[in-house]
Amino acid sequence: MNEQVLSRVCEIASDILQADVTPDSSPETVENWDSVQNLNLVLALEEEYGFQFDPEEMDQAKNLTSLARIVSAKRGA
Amino acid sequence: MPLQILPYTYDIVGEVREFNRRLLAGGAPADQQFPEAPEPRWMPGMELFVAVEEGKVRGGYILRRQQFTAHGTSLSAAHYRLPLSEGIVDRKYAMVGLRLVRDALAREPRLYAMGMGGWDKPLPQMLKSLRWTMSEVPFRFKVAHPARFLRNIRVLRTSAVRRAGLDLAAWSGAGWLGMKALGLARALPAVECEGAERFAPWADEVWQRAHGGYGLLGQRDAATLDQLYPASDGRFLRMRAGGGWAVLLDTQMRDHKQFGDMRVGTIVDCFGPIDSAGAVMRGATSLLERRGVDLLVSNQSHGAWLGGLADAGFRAGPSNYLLALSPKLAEAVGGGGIHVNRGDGDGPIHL
Repeated sequence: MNEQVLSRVCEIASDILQADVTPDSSPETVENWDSVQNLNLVLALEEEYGFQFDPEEMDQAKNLTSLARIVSAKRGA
Repeated sequence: MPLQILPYTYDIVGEVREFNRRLLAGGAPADQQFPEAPEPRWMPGMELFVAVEEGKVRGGYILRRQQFTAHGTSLSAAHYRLPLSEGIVDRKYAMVGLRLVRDALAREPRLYAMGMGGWDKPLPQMLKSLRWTMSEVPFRFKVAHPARFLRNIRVLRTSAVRRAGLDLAAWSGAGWLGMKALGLARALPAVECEGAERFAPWADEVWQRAHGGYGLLGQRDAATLDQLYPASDGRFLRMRAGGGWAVLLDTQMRDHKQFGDMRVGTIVDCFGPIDSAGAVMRGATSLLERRGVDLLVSNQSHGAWLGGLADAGFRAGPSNYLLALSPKLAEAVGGGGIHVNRGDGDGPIHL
């Protein structure tokens, strides 16, 4: 996985969620990460990288590392 | 097994019950419950879907497919209703809400949502982020019996001091005098209007004559109206005036969260040529006043119908009744002239 992508995903997530995050952060560990903020995060990443997540990919995105892994894979595809 | 969104069938009713139980246990409001039967028949055109992961239901939504007309051109659209996600009580399922709305958009790109309880609720916030076109459907009210209004209006009776003041105003007649002075309780002289037992066949002629004048309008031909407001349901009052019509409710509330024990008259739905709006609203208001309601209310989006309500003595109140149009539906409408009210969306629930 591209470390630059992980760093940028964390940066965007921190901005959207208004919280300190780590690569392991997930909806279960960040208080503000509710349905609305999850949508805002997904939309922000889609806008940043210029693609839309597939439904299955959204299921796999359990934390920021897995989100960054999906972004890296899509960019490499 | 990844989360899948599937048509709701009888074999998963037990899991829907469990889903509802988890929502309640997690503190979700009691009205946030998915139907525990796959074919709720309260409105025509419903399709129900559930989000299932490893055999467990984690969310669901309903599409109600409807015909609309936009500037005289017929188009199909659907009401996106009751989207529920386990994410409201367990953040592990925070992604379900987005999955639901994207699934619905894939099935019908022209979607709308209505009501939603106010801007602070998750659904309107999500739809706003998704760049849906959002607006309030204005709320209008008229007080017919000031004393009963002051004793029952929950939104004003929020503290012991306020309640005592309002009770005093009601008892002394000061409230009545004040409302009369402000024009809030001005009864209309009796206006002639005609009742109707059903919409067939006369409402078809109204529909044909008038629908082209609106920017967006749900189908309101006789067959649709007789399904929405069936003659078998004695609650609905149908009246005609000035070439248009209205559907009214006259409901004795019991411990209602907003209206207490008032008798509330609602102008639920209305339609006709735009220049009929004044006559219809005056007729509807006069009819409800003569029946003895304490308070009259209506949500209307179209300027002509709002003007009709103003002429009949209605005033503006705060609205938490929202309208959201998906980008594809907003594009098809392309501007103003939207005519929606409590006859659209969920229909006249809680009234």
